[in-house]
Amino acid sequence: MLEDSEIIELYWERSENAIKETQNKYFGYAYSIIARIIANKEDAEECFDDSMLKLWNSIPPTRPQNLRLYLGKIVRNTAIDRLKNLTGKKRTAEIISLSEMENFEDDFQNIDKDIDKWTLVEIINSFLQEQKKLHRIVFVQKYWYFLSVNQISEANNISSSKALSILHRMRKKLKERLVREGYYFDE
Amino acid sequence: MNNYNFIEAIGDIDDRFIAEAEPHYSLTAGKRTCGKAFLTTKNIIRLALAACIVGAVIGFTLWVIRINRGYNFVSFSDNAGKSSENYYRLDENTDPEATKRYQKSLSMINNFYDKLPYKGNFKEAVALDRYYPDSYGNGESSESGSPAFYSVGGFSANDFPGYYAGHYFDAEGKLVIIIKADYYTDNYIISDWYRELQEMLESDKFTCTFAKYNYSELLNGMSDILFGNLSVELKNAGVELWSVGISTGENYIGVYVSAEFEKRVKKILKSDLYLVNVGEKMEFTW
Repeated sequence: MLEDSEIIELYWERSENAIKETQNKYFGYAYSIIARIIANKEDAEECFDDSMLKLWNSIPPTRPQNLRLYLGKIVRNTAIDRLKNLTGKKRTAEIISLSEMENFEDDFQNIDKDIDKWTLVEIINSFLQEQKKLHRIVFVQKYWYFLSVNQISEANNISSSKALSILHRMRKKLKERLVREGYYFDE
Repeated sequence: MNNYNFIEAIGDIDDRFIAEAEPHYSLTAGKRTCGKAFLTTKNIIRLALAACIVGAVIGFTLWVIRINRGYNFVSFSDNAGKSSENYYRLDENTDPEATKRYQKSLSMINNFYDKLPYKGNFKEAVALDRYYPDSYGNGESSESGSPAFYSVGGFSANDFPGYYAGHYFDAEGKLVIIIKADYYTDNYIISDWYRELQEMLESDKFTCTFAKYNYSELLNGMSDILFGNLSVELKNAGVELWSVGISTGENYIGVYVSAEFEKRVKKILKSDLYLVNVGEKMEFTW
């Protein structure tokens, strides 16, 4: 199996082996992210292929520091785009609806609608930086990797109730942070 | 701002947070199953390990009671494999030596189950009276009017030694037997029950830890919530349970409910044998 730097070189050389090597090395990783967002196998596979195309088109000019993470982000974004598309087509039976995000939406329904995405990213980054490591991991596993509470509890060797409690507190704190920054309007 | 904007914003958080939180296992094993290059020896071994994991997960899943919304019926099955109730995670980083230990541990626990129902000297577990399920519960003995009780691997509360409280496999694949606290002492290796356990497991390559409830009590607790008085109380209180299952490692029966029923359920399930959690509805697709 090639090193990431060698695979990136293949992309720069426009060698089709780059795709093959990426699939060999990261299919499991990438597909596991997609599968948590999109349940339908065909849609998930198409999503993976779309992600590979995006990767091919973005390297060059990009030279990612960490190919795994870079691919992970592309895959996640592609899956979410496809999910939006599928939701629009009301193929709800074929997708994971992200219903686990419902609490998240409820908690943040009064957020400033004009907030810029990158401002929000900056606030979330700064917020995460201030949290305990375990809390940060649980939050990111839930909202980036879309793990279920049970999977989070197993991955971190904590009980499900503790994972739920951490998530509840994190959402509360993030909301407080947004209120402080002036991006959340209390009713 | 809507749900997706938040999800997208989180997608762009700092790389170090994403890397830090990456789960140490993949939900889908291996790479794409196509092409000649896939069938290498290494990959065949990986597939075999993945099959072990899938088998263990399925067994574990079957062990969890699923209760449909509306509490209209209770469905569950025995633990499909006696060795699968506590599964050990294998992934690309697993030490091969740990895998060997895990396989040995599996065979030991199979030896244990092969010797059930237990007929030794520590048979203290007395199962609750058999329950007669009504239309709200149909266990494995589910015909109308026939007795129902919760069982694992075909064995019910009466079939386990009184000292046995469950088992799990530690991160190194070693077997850990959980012992009811009443029996446990620090120098347990000189105790009679330990000697008996060695005979049942056909090995001494295991360690012991302790917990409050033995396995029979956990099984009785499951019977009670599914078919006994507690099931009647829960039904009368009009609550809906998402799922119920024994957490062997943590020595309790986990009861998952939606937030609206949490207080009512906690009022009924007062014993610390039960841990009531506000959880998600479990959807198994295996």
